[in-house]
Amino acid sequence: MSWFKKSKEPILAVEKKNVKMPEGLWTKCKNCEEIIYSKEIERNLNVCPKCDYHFRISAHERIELVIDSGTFVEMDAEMMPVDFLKFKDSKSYKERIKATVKKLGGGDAVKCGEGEIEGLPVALAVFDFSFMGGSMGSAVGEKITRVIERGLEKRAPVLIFSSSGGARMQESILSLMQMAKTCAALAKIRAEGIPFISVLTDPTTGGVTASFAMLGDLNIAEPRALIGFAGPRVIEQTIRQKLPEGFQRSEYLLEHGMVDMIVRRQEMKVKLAQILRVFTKN
Amino acid sequence: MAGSCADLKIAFIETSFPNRLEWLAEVSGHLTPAMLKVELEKFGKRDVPIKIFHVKPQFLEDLQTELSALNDKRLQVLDGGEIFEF
Repeated sequence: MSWFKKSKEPILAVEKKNVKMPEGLWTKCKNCEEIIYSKEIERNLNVCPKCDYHFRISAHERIELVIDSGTFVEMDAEMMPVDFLKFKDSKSYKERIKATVKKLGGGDAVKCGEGEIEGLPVALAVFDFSFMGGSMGSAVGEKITRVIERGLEKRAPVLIFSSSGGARMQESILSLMQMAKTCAALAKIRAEGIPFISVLTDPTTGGVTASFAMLGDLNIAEPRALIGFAGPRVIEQTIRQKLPEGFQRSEYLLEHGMVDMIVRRQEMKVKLAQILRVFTKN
Repeated sequence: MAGSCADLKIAFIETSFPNRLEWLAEVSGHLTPAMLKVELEKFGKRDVPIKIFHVKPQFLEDLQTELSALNDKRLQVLDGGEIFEF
């Protein structure tokens, strides 16, 4: 015989309703952590309406934003990365290329071509961080060099939007030599007085920062972009000191003279046109 | 600070944009010849040569004209690649 008896029926859990939320409807801002309606972020040019955090955007979206509609003509679109060294880490480089190309549809981490900004011609290169972290291998370096040479040929200002983790490690020294190659091409346009405007977007690091990205006649940054050579964790471990708040962010670099100005995405096209007019005396 | 250095042999200072682009110089933290003039007055030291660097190639002619107009014999625009030995 039991000592206690249940006088009532046990409380049963309410049946959970399976509410289906369409994926991607809401986005959590990486900076302020607000949950925002994705369409609102898109309408705001992929900038958080609450805290002004600039989300990363694709090369295609960037071109749409700054280049006059219908004026962009892509060059070297067929140029693809090649696994010269038969490199393999947890996966072979060849497989990585194949998977990325399948996902993103061809090309490499940079889109190059010619276009106009408020009617002013430019030779343009735009990095795509989603393609292997925007890393610079031999194809990327060659495309950048060619677009600089196109600027030289057409005497058009060169504009590069960087967003890159640096040199592509799978291509070893072949990617490192792209740093020298792109800088040598820039020296040629500098000698001819052709302007080079570098726009640093989140993140611009490693071999890209250490080569052409910091050589602009004007170096422009998007707000709060991470810009540096080695990452903060590596520096902290090396110098065994805590880094200051905001270290390697655009605002810190502007304060220390490493970038010339910070321009919000909404104002980028107008500001670029103004600068191009100044530099080309139009 | 450089002005208070007792045995200063040479001074390097940038001047990037011509006077008409003062707004751009201010926004980007650079100097124009007119802004340089103000800095040189603060600097003093009439006997120290001053080397100008970071001249934007697109404005080289304008800058040379405007720097000459300052009529300051200490000023020299660097071409790049010069070697200074002390």
